[in-house]
Amino acid sequence: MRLTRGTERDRGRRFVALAGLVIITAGCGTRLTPRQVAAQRATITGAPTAGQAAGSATAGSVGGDVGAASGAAGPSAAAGSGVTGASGAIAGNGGIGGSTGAGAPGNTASDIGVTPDAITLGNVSTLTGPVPGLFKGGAVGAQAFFAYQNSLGGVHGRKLNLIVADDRLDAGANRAATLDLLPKVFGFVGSFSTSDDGMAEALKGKAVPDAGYALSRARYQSPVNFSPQPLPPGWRTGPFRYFKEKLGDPVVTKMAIFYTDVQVSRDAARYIQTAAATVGWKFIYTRAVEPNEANFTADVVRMRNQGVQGVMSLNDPGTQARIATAMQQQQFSVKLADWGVTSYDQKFLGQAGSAAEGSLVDTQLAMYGGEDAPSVPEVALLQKWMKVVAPGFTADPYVAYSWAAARLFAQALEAAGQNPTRATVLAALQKIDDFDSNGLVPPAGPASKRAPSCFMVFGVRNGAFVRADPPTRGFICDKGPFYQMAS
Amino acid sequence: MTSFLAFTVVGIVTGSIYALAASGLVVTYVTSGVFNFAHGAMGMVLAFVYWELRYHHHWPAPIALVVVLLVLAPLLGATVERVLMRRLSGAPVETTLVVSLGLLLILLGGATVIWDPTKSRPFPEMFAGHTIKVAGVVVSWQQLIVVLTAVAVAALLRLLFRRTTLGVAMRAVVDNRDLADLTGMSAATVSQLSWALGTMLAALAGILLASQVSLDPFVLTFLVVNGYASAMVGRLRSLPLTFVGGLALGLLESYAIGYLSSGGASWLTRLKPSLPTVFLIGTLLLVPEARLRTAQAITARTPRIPSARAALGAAALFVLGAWVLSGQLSPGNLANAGNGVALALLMLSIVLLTGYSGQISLCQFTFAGLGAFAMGKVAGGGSPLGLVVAVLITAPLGVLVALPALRLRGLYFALFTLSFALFADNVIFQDRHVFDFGGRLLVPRLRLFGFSFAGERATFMLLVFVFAAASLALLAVRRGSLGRRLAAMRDSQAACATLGLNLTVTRLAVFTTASAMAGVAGALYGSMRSSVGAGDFVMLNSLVLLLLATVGGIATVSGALLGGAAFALFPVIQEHVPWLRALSFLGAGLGVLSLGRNPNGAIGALADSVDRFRSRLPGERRPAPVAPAALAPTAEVELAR
Repeated sequence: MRLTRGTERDRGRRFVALAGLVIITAGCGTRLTPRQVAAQRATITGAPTAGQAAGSATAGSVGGDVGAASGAAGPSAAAGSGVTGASGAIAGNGGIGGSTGAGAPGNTASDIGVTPDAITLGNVSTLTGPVPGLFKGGAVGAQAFFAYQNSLGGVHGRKLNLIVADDRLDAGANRAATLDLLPKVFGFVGSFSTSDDGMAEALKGKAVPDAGYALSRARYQSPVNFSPQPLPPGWRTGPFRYFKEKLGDPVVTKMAIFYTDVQVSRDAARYIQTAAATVGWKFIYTRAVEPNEANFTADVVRMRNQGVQGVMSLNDPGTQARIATAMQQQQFSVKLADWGVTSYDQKFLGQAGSAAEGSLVDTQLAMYGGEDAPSVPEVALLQKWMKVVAPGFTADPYVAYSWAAARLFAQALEAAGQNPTRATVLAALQKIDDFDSNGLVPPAGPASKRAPSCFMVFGVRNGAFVRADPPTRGFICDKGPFYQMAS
Repeated sequence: MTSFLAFTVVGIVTGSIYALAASGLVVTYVTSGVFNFAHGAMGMVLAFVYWELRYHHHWPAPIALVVVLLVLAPLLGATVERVLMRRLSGAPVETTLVVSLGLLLILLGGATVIWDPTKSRPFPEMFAGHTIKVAGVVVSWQQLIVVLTAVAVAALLRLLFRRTTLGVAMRAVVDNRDLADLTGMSAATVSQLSWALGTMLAALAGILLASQVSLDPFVLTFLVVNGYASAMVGRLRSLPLTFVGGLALGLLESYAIGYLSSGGASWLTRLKPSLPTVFLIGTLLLVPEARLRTAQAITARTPRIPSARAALGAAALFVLGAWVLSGQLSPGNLANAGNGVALALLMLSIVLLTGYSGQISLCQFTFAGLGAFAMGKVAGGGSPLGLVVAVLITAPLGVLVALPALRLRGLYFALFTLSFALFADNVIFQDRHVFDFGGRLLVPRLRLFGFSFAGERATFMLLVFVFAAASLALLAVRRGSLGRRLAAMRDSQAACATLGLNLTVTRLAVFTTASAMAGVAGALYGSMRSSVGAGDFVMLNSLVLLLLATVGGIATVSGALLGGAAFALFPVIQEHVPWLRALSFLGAGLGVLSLGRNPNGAIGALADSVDRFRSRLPGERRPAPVAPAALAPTAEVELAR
């Protein structure tokens, strides 16, 4: 402690104290523990995060042939009138709307956020905060699709603009940003946040369309939310039957599962085990993992003792790599290593190295990273326009889901007619119940909140991700329904 | 038996990691008296530097190691000592805690700015592919190196501290800096050497662990938290015991994985991930009775306490100003402002606990989380009963937390509360009965006597009223006999004990009251945000809360208001001025520097300026200079029982 000795020093001290007071709070941006970071990242591991289904999701109602979901020309929505399809940058994978040029004759300022030549939409995603850039993909995906759609002349001659707000992973900020945007925007598109219950609260009782992947129960249950991939509690059973047919009972009755010790992952692990049990799987080793655990040798010893034949994981890529490496080091191999959709990340390949070889992962997204670009035009479009709006940004699942949400919204906008209102767009969204974003995602029912049941399988070969089944494009849809649970 | 041996080998490897992470922490504490929260962060940064040299610039491993361990690490340690820590000599525990926390934020933030955490940085093991088999377990050479390094570090450092003049001098500097100077060795130089050594160990641990865990700034920084438990076994002084503690924890974890039921929902299974925390709590409970410090104060001088009349006037002005302001703000800005007031309300609990009575709690956000839980769950949510239940949960829990830890002082007490916060993060807040599906809980707005505070402005004004009322109550306490008693306890517990004051009951009462205040604040905070999750109440938030309360002025309600406003406001500024993110961590350093010089925080600095201005006015009496407490002689006495 020092006494004050002079005026200059006092001034300096006051400045430092006050400047520090203001700026030091930026440290708040680092105030999550590894557990919380893992929790945020775990929300989109393919694990359902929303609450009980509010719609009429019916197990077994999806199914169907693979080709129907394989990126055929034009959107597959029933309400997709006015779709041009072929006018996109890539033939056979069209944009929406036939008009060209801004401000088509007859266009009026029909509702909030609508002018004769533009429609302003909102997006509330996590851009800064404890995990900087966590859901930036939520904004980038919608921006990319709008840029693409605008390059085709927009919808009914109106350009689509997006105002992006940051919720800093804070439900209060999410609610606040939504409230502030309400008087400015026509609707919300592609918003991505684990705190999106704030948005749901702000939109409660208001007829404002919201197309986006719901992560909270409140948003999922909201009557104005339309997710391109609604996911009620439960899990797809198709992959379990698929692997059972491929590998046989001796493997699938001796499975192990690792999951991050946060509630979202624990719930997902429970769904997996319950859904898998319906087709005869059995997990004989389950393990909750702390995000910073370093050594999995004891697990390997125990798995070997118990005769484990296959491993599944709901962890971050680093943990998945550490488990794979420990197994390799102990010379313990399994017949099935399904590391989960989060392993579709260069971090996993980089850290696991040769231990990742032979992995087989089931997922409900086309390979948006680019591997599917030659066979799934929607992936090529996404890649192209993502580079236009966010050069250098690496595709993640949020980009893909947000792109799909933007396409869903644009489709409804087109169907709502030349001078849309919030009510007419909501009505149009309520008619779209078979949506696959041209093969980017498996078919699902946004209107009835019907979960997707199709999947595809990719693997790791020679240090790279490769599509395994179906071998070129599309999803496997004939193996089983989505198994829905109460909670 | 084979399995047992295998699990033992695994436990030794894991335990050595903990021991290595903890040994540098112990070295720093032994040689500087500072519990360096930033120890893991320093190791993390140097591990990144090593990666940069070794894998990005392709330097040979030995050269990269030498440059990092023998040049950069000592340089970093010596710089930290010179710029930050030297001025903290003799400062109260909370000041050193806050400064090291600030350093942690600078390093963590700096690392995430320089090395984008979303990019992959493979960090292969040294001697990759080389293994040996021990008791049926394949152990890599690097794991073997970790074990041997941990043993060597414990042994060599013990030799250094016991058998060499330098080592003895290092310990002497902590015990009595002035006396150490008399031996002919410059205390400043010895202290700088100590920090250089501690940072070298942090770098060594960081580099060795990065390939075992991952080159992730958060994981590497917080791995050392697991090391706290093993450091506590050695009571932050004994390196061999620290090593033993690390081994014990590693073995415990390994046997738990090996023998406890895998899966299921038994409490034993749920306890597995919390073993380091439970181990830390257990160890702290076995720590012997703390010594009492005689002459040490929280602040340089006690801030002026406003009269009842002045306080009432200020509160009325505050409410009026808030009412006018709230009419001008958009719903979004009102929500942000409301968050700030709610956080200020939470900080009032720290004013009472730390500012008035000198106890440090690192779990105030935990109590706030439980308050929010009550508000969201009781009577369908949003009921005044929720506020009552928030108090009924947090007050008794405060007693439960404080009771076994009351005999602990300063750092140990702070660490105990930190353990509780970690336990709540890992177990309580992860329970699906606390936060609902997906880890979220809707907290409806308060409904009171038929009136619903559903609107942003209504909730904002409710918070303003509650803050004003709580501040008036707190100031009334401070002016009364209890306030004087607390001030006396804060200034010298030994003197209070000598005078026959029952400190235990007073400390318990204060901690319980502060816990209940935090519970109520949490209930209103949750209601303001409309939904909460476990991530809103993590332990690290409690650290930031303490830090901002200290920077604002920990012994004043206006300091709490300033701290709360900053807590809520800065993320908003950061959102609109993205480049501030890069500057923000430098700013954190400025804040830390200011704390070293100005323990009364921003409000204290403001008050000093006003005093000086008034003293220059004609006819004003010049205030007498007050000796800062940190310069006052400090001694330790055992409390006679």
